[in-house]
Amino acid sequence: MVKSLWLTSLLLVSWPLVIPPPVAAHAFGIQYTLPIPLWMYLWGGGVVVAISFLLIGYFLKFSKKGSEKIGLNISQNLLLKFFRWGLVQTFFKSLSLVIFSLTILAGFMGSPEPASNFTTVFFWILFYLGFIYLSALVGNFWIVVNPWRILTPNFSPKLNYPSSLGYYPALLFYFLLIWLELLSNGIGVNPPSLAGILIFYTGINFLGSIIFGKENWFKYGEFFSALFELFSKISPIQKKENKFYLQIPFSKLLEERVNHFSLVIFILFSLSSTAFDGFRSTSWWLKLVYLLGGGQIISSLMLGASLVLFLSLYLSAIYLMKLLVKTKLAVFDLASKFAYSLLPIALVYNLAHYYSLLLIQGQSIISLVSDPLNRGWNLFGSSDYVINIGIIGAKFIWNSQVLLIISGHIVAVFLAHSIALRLYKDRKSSLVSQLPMLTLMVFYTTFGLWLLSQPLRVGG
Amino acid sequence: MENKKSYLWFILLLLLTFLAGGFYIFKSSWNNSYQNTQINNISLASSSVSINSNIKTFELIVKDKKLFSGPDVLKVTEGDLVDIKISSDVSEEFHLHGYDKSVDLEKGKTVNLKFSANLTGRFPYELEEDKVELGALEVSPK
Repeated sequence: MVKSLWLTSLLLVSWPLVIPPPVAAHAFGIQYTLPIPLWMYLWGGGVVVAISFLLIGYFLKFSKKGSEKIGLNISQNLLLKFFRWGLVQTFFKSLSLVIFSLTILAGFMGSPEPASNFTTVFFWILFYLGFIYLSALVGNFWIVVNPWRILTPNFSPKLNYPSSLGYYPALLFYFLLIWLELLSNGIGVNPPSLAGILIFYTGINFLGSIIFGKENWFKYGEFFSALFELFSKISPIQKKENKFYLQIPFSKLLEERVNHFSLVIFILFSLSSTAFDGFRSTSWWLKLVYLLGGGQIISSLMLGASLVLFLSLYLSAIYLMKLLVKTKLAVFDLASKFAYSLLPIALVYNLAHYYSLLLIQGQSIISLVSDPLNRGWNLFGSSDYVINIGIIGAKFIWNSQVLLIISGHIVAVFLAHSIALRLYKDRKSSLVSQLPMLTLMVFYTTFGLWLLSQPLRVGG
Repeated sequence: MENKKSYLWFILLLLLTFLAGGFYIFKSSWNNSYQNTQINNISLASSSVSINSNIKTFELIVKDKKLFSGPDVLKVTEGDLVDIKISSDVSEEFHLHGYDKSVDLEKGKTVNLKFSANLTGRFPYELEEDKVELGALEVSPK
């Protein structure tokens, strides 16, 4: 019995690898964006530094600790009530299952070209990118429509979820997903392989739920739940004790703190993985590869190294903070306390690098939704829709990228300072304590701008 | 929230940034459209003078499934007429992404790909059959 279980699991694992990807995956996820001009990068960097000084000045004079206010109670709002209505929720859950099944089916039955396949376009562009932005906008809608949550029975735990494990399972899947996206030599964008992986992931969620119970698994293990829950804390729509509130965007990040160090690493990976993707398209990456050698293994190690780098920089800033102002908290505790202030930067990094992909290549879904299985159907009459590349021009993209990065920086600095005010005794201490964090944030955001300004290498 | 007043200041600061940014965006695009109006006015006035958009010509030689000679990156400005002359040692298909234009290459022959660069951005081009990226066309906004 056990032997056959092992055999089945082995088959399940190797299934995605059995289906060979095309010799070289045709261009999927090409970005038609130009690097931002040098002067714009310099202007942006300058603004980031200047605004930081302005904010310090402001904090010196005006900031003070205030009372906690949650926000406007909107539980009785009609639109909200509509979306909470059982029938509506059932509709969205069913829709989610239909889309999920279609995504898997189209992987096997649709076009083998990633750019023309419903599975790859929907999963990588509409879903993975789009849902991050949607969660940041309207809150944790994923908890309602998550197909894995809908499909998994309410298993009760066989084992208590060990608290030391934290979000590490979700972090592992995050790493694997990014690896699949960037370093799998096309497996991740090969429709049947992707569909197979989604089936496999369904099995993993079943297994995880059987062992640790559904609730704990879907909090700490199911990657997308962890990801979208994290970004949903940015949204102005928040839920607390079964009531809904409308509050200032990002303010939820001040109400909670990270409870497990694994989530700190998770947040930093969101930042570092986007930076890694951007860095890979530059000529500097070629120089690095020339030094260290190319290949999948080295690249995979580099993905890990970029996380280690971003994490070390963050912890160094925290350590300096501890040196500057006395506190009883250990470095890891302090790091957890301030971790949410990095989330705005993670969001704008993601938006600046990828939103144009969603807007341009994401349009493929319009024709794909009418003929998802490549049968020549025309369900919604849109099967001959051609992507409009000129929908936004290079100039608009540049300006929006720079504005996004600057705005994310401002919000992050503001959040970090608010956290500091709560932590330290007086205004002066909190200001002094924030200098390392401020430097770090200036670095992150200027590096983000630098990445966007780098000439893109050919063959990237 | 910590302090309602400090958040109002925060929003004000964010707003100012967006306003400053917006001002800059609109200013530069207004400058451009103003310049274009001026040029159109001049061309209407002097019909004997034919205004040509810039024609940018590039020569690419493909050998052994890669770029043997010619620039890696073709830089043009929005509105230019682009003329890419490609010669190849094998028959292949030259495909320009974004613009989605293709031209068949034949051994020993030079072919032309001519079009108007009306989309801004960076558009890679490749040998379609062997999936080899040869370079990219960069169309800068005016």
